Amino acid sequence: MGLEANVVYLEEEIASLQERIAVIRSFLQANPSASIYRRSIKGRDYYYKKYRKGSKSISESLGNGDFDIKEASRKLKAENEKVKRAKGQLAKLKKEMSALKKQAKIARKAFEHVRV
Amino acid sequence: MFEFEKEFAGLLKEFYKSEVLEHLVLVGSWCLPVYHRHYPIARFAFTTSDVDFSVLRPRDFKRGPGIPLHESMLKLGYLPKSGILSKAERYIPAPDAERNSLSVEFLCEPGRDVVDPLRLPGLGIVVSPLSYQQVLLDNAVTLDYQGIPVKVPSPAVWAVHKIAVSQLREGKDHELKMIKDLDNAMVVLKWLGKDKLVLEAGHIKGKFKKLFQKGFQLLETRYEI
Repeated sequence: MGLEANVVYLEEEIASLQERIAVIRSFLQANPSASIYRRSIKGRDYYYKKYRKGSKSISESLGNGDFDIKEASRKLKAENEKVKRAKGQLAKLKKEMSALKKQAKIARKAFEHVRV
Repeated sequence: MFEFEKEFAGLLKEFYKSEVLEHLVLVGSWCLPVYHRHYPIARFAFTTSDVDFSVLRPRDFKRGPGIPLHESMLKLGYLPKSGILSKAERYIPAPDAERNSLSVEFLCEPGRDVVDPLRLPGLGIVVSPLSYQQVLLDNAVTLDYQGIPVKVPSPAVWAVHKIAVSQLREGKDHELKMIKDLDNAMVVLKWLGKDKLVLEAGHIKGKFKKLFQKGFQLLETRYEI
């Protein structure tokens, strides 16, 4: 593999990783981890979802006594699992990108050195 | 074993199962791993994470319903990502797809009515027109890859194409990209020989041939062949 091809390959991979990181970030912003809470007021149960949006904590009403808590919890658990996996992916990709950036810097230096 | 081999094989397997693979030709540098299984080409140092497929007859899929390729991509854990300014689409790994690293793009030959990226309702995807795809499509051969029949351009035509399109590279680092294309072509040229490649290029006419000749001159100087 030539020095030129190495530089191109690394820079294309960095661009591709940057794109993926941006997608994961917007996914995490649109789908924050959430929890379901139950509150009893005057003998009636009220359910609500709580999650963070930026620095704010948001509560969203889900329903009252008739609300199917089991089904909602199951769905929320699956969604939270997705978010957890996305966070793991983000951490992994960030590490990969940092390593690739270092390699690209070295490759470009080597290429410039040979060119001179 | 090269990086992403399992994922690549998984993609091909799913396309084969949904019978869409017979309408696609694998193009780009991912042809090298397929060639490597059949021809004595040298081991290549890397393959990019971008896999490109060219659609054989996009007109056949201008109306739906056809083959749900878009759904297959979603099932495999890829999401379509369009460019900021263009309508072109590329499938990248979904945020929660831990095992995916490849990105997939679908291309086609530009035509009178195909200038911009085009949505094919029959496949559910957007194809991006790219010059000189027809040369690759007209010279496709079917090779076996892990038990899956994959259409790829014949190695000689693939190398000729790489040499020609190296002269079309634009933008930042176009010179480096051109050299990368020539490096790729050299993998095949080392096995086939210079004469066979020139003979193959003799069948091609027009502007494409001129681009090849220009690229080939550079190749001869750079690699002293």
